[in-house]
Amino acid sequence: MEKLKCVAIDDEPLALALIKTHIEATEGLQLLQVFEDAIAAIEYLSKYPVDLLFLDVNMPDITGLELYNSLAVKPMVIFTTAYKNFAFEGFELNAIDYLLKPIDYMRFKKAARKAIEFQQHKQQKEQDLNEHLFVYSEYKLIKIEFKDILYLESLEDYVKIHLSNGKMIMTLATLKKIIDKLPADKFKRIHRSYVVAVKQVQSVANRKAKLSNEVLLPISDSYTSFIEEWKNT
Amino acid sequence: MQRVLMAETEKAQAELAFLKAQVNPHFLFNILNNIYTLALTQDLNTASSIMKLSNMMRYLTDDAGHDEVSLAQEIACLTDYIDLQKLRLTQKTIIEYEIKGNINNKKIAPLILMAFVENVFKYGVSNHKNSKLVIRVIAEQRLINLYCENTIHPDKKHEKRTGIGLKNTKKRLQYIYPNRHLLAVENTQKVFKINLSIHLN
Repeated sequence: MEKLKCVAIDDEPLALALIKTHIEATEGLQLLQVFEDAIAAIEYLSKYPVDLLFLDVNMPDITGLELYNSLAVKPMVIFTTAYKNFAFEGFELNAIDYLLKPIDYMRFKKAARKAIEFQQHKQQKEQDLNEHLFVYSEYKLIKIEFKDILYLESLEDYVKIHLSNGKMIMTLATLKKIIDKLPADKFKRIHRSYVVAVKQVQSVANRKAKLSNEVLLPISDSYTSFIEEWKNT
Repeated sequence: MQRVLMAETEKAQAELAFLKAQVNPHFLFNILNNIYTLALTQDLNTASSIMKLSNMMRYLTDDAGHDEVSLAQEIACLTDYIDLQKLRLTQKTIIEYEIKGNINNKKIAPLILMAFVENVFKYGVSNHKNSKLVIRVIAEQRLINLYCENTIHPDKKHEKRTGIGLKNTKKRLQYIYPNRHLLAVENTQKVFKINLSIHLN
């Protein structure tokens, strides 16, 4: 996963220096900017995409909560505060975490870990919701719906993508690279050279899978577990 | 009428007792976070900052419980407080702090000067615009004068001047120094100023 792009906002220079040190010491986080001036931070956030905010709650010009509420695009947020009062409670739900000052590194790392896991989870969900992939073929970028794919066949440096409408798209790629773009539960490898859409397999006999268009594909020794997986779908 | 006045002053005293017992946790933990950072970076100011906080806390939790303290003690607390606040401020805020005259051998009710100085920091600081804070104490033979000035930030969203802090301090002044003090408050749209004179016995 790419590093989380971070911005830290705190009115106090030393508090900001501490957060900065902590961010730079943490794998998976990349510090873009720090701000003592919350108003300047709002301006920055309206222009640049950020994944994670470290945001002080009590600042002289505007509170961290007001700042966060004012953002049109809301990144993940970890609040930092010297003292937790009641007004703050309801807000915890929307935050990844909150850190009480003084902020020790072990506690900081725990909060950062939460943000990283949240991001991974979000990206996985987005991938699951995706219903198509893009490939290059004959100098064109082509969109292919998952539901239209029958099976993939590798041929030297190319992959042939066979579609249910009888068409075939050939793209310069390894089979592995294409598989990574597909939902793992819907597409299974059955052979060094073949990947099938599980739903398209109608019968299996003599180590061969028969697809809806009558095509027979070999199931090799290393992939016989496919038969069990297919039975259970 | 007399009864109403008594009730008012009792209330003011009770509020003072409450204030004394409660050190502003925001101030305390922010300062601790700053000192923590100083310690991590092995900054030479670490030890002196701990000492200032310690002296201040001792004054607030112990000495300030008496009816009167020495002026020197109250001013030591102001100085520690201002020094610690400086750890928190950016270059956008300029502080002019000055003590004039002989502060020794004079007594004053605790935390009156502190109340005005705390207000200066509460309302006068912005990280977006430049601010100037002025705090000046002049000790004369039979008079203590405090002058405070801070920039007003009308855009400050959350800390509207409620006047409660000032109101309580006014009540205390009435109660402790009836006919012996003079408080002038000036609120232009840009600057907030107070000028307090207390006549000593």
